[in-house]
Order: sequence, then structure tokens, then C-alpha cells
Amino acid sequence: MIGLHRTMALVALILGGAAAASDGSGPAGTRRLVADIAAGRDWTTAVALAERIKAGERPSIFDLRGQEEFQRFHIPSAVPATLLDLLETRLPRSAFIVVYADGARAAQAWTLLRMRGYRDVFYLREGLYEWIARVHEPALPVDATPTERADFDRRAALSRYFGGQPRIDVPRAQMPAGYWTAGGDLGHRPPVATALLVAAIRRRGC
Amino acid sequence: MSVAPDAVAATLATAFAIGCAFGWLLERAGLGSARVLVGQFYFANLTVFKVLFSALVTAMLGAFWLDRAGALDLGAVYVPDTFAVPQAIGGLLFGGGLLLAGLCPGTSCVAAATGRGDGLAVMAGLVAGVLAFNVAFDRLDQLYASTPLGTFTLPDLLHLPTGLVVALVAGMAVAMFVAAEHLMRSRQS
Repeated sequence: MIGLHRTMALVALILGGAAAASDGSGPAGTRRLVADIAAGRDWTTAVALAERIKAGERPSIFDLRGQEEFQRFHIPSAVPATLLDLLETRLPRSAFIVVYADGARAAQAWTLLRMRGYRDVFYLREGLYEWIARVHEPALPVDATPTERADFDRRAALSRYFGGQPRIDVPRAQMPAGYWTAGGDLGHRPPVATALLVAAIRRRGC
Repeated sequence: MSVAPDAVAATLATAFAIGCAFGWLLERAGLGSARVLVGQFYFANLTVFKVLFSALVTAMLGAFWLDRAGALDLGAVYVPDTFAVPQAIGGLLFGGGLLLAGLCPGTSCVAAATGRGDGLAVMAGLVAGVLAFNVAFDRLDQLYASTPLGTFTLPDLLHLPTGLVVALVAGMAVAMFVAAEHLMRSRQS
């Protein structure tokens, strides 16, 4: 019996020592991270986020753009945060978390939260610009197709729910471009594009 | 999101099998006896410590290395939230009850299954306590949800890599097993 106990203790020490020598997040965790990025499971759309909030879900939304920009305008229920805040934040592991920023910071935050073990984490590819362009102020082109009109009606309902203002009869050339439009750039808008949209909303007193 | 009935049935069947294995191991380890459990509090019998710490270290090393092998997603493992004050009160009540009865919920089932009267009595108390708690829940819900600290694990708390924490816990467990053996031998001699 003593021999068995010693063997078990030795096995525990060997496996424990090997655990310390292995990488912090582990190859399996890293593989899942890479697989999720490759499959596009790292981001969500502003419209999908809005629909989930409207359906009663309460996501933790972190705005990583800085206090000043946050004070000007932010997604409803979002809180300002830095990467350091995200390092310290304590939420249930199964929490639905969305992060957004202008630029690569959102993707960095996504990686940080996933490394901390949070599973249901997403970022908005085009940050607040996407929220405003797709949810807060959805636009219907003057020459809209039936498909575009149906999509607009869905997003206009979301816009009204969040206190936004849908726009109709918008010239095609002035439609907000993004990854959702054919030929729209992939990636984030320059911060100035977001700032202009926010300034327009504030001028209207919304 | 709905869960397929087959998945629920499979989960329940797995839970039943794990529960049976758990009960059998508790019984084989002698934890169906109140004397063995209470002996822990007086350092007269360290079986509880050795059995439960062995289980803890085995589960920890197994989960860690299954995750590394890609067979288990540690990130998907449920980690309960921490509510400091209600859980401290619950811990004190649980500890008091364990000392008084000599059995905890799992071991009371084992004791009852082996025909011990004290096991049946503790299980009856357990059911009565669950009923009383649920009846009084409306009055307790503020306390129940007070002092929330979120979820965190030892690596979060210590700001150390998971692998290092696994090594530290495994090393600590082995050191404590050795100390427990020495203590038992010195008591016997």
C-alpha cells in the first residue's frame, strides 16, 4: 500500500511539474483561439448585439475609446474601460461580453478576455461607427431594393428602440459604407468618421 | 436556445453514473461512518482529508491535462460565482452541521444506503433544511445575492499562470499527505 501511495505521489508531482513547465494558456487553448478567429467567431455585428439586447439579454459592453469619446456618445449600457480594467474585471465565465474601440484595441481586448477564460466574447469590427451607421441611424437609399427595404425596416425598429433616428431617401453615394456593403472596406473606420457621426447626433440634441 | 432531449438524457445518465461511482468510492473509503468524519476535526483520523484531497488533485491534474490534450475545454467548465457574506454564513452552518451530525450531504446518502440510522436522520434534516430555505427564500434573497465578487479562480486571484498553480497545489498536497502520515504514526506510537 505504501508503495502505491508513493507511486501516486510521484505521478502527481511529475504531472504538476510538467504543468508548470507548459505554456500558460496551453496549446489547446491557443488552437481554439486561432480556430475561433479563423471562423469569424471573434466578432459580432452591431445589429445582432442590438437584437440580443432588445430580446432581454444583458451583455457587458466595454467601450475602450477613452473617457472623452465615451462621454460624447456610447452604446447604451456600455461602460468605459481600459485593457488594465479588463485584466481586473470579474464577471461570470459565461458572461456575454462585447468590446468596441476605434482601431485594433477591440481585438486586443477580445484576445485578453479569451485568455482569461471568458468564452462568450465578441468585438464590433467597426466599433461605434458600426453601431451608429447600422443601428442608431440606419439609412434607406433612395433607390432601395425590396431586400434593402426589408432589412431597413428591421433595423429602423431597433433604432427607435434605442432612441435613434432612421434616415430615408438617402442618396446611394451617401450611404454609410462598411464591411456590410459591397465594396465597403473591411476593417475599422478612421476615428474621424466616428467623430463626425457623433457630432451630427449631438447637434440634433439626441 | 433549446437543448435537445437526447443531450439532456445523456447528461442525466452520465450524472447518475458519476453519482453512483462517487457514492461507491465514498463508501469504500469509509466515509459513510460518522466516527471517521468527526475524527478529522480532532486530527484523530485524517481519512477525510486524504480522500478528498486525492480526489481534488486527481480532478485538477486530469482536467488540466485533458485541456492541454484538446479533449476538454477548461474555459467551458462552470465556475460558480462568489458571494462573500452569504457563502461565509453558509460555510459556518455547513461546518456546524457536519460537526454535529458527523456526516455531510454526500456521506449521509452513503450512510443511509448502507442502512445506518444516523444517515437517514441527516438526510431527513437535509430535506427539511432545503424546504425551509426555499420557503423563506423571499426574505433571504437580498442576503443571498449580497457582496457579489464575481467568478475567479486561484490563477486569477494569485495572478499566476494556471500551470504553475497546478504544480503548487500538487506539491502542497503531496507535502500535506506526508505530514498527515507522520502525524498518524506519531499518534499511534
